Amino acid sequence: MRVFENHLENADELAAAFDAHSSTDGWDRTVIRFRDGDEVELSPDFVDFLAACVQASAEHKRVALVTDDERVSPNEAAALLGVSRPMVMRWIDDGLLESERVGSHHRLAIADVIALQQQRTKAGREAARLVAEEPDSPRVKTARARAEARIAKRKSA
Amino acid sequence: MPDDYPPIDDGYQLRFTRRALDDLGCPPGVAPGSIEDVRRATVHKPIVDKLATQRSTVPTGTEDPMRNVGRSDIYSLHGPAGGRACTWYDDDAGVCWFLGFTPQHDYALFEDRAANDDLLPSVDDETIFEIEQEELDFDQRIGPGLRQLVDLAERAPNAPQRATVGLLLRLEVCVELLVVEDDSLSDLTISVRLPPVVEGAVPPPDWSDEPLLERLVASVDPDRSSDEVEWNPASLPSGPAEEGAGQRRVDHAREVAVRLPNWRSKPSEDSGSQS
Repeated sequence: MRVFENHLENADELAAAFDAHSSTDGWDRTVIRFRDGDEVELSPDFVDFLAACVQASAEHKRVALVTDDERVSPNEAAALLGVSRPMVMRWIDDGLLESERVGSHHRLAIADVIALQQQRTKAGREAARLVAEEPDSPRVKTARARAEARIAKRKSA
Repeated sequence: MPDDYPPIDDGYQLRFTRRALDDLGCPPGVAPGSIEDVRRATVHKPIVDKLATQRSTVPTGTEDPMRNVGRSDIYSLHGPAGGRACTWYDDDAGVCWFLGFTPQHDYALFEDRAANDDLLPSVDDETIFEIEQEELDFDQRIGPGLRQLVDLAERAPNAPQRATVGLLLRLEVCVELLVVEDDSLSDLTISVRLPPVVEGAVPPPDWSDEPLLERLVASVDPDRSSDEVEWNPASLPSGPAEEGAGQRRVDHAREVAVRLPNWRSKPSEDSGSQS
């Protein structure tokens, strides 16, 4: 994985240029011109890829280049997923995360970790949405009752 | 049969309270249990990174407990640029909560919140946590806790292990050691206290058509065929034989059970080692 700085030089200028030329006409004639005059025309997909990187950099976000085949340790996966290392090990045991053994160590495909992370993020967003937008729905009410019971138990402990 | 089914300790997760998300400048709708979602939404990324790297290994952290907040289990988390955050580990729920953040060295923020009973997770925070767990599929919600119970049972043969798994199922798991001449065999038994779903809880979205016991068997031994399972056994282990216990009758009005003969201990090879 390669992580780039969060605001690359020229990011604002490039983002503005991509934004101004985001029509189909602009995309399908985008080229890289080298010092010796050689030009290579970029495919629309590749321009989309570059535009996304430039936009993220212009928004002061760090951009990480990760390929599907890259692998991380359980500790790194735990930090990415926001859980403890034992939780990651249990997910490996359960088959939720596939791991490869390198000597005595586990290595996990970054694509699998990100897929699990996205599932959990989706669940969290849906839960936050339900509580904010449907506070009187039966589902939220029953969950709230359990939450209140847990808080009461905490306070009495 | 017993009534005590404590929550299973199956690792823990990191979460943010809504007040902490406000401190970090995150808009509504950010998933409070997603490090990546929060990181994407805040400019205070270093403190989020610090939480992820430090608290994913030690839930209480290595700094001293915070003072003047009315309790001794709130821990400081120091940001690299002088910012201060604090966390609290809820052992029962398996959550390390990020409670608040100040970009300055301003502990008074946390002290004021503690004085107003606004420091720990609110009812909304806990409600979102409950619903988020409901949204996860069976493998994510039930699998880890069930596997943890099996691990415990393998380490203490003949001693039933009981826990509430995924805030949902009250399970009893036992590895029963059977000594036959010089060889030893073991059976695994799983009992589910009825009703199977804890009152008010919503089952995982992918658990609608499949019978529960079949799902649990597949979770612990996906290669086992139905013929290799004793469905609805008449009795279950009730405790170590040396303590005078043996078998108890299954109370079919209050539980459903299954026995997996010829269970072989498969302790996890890597648990506890560092990578």
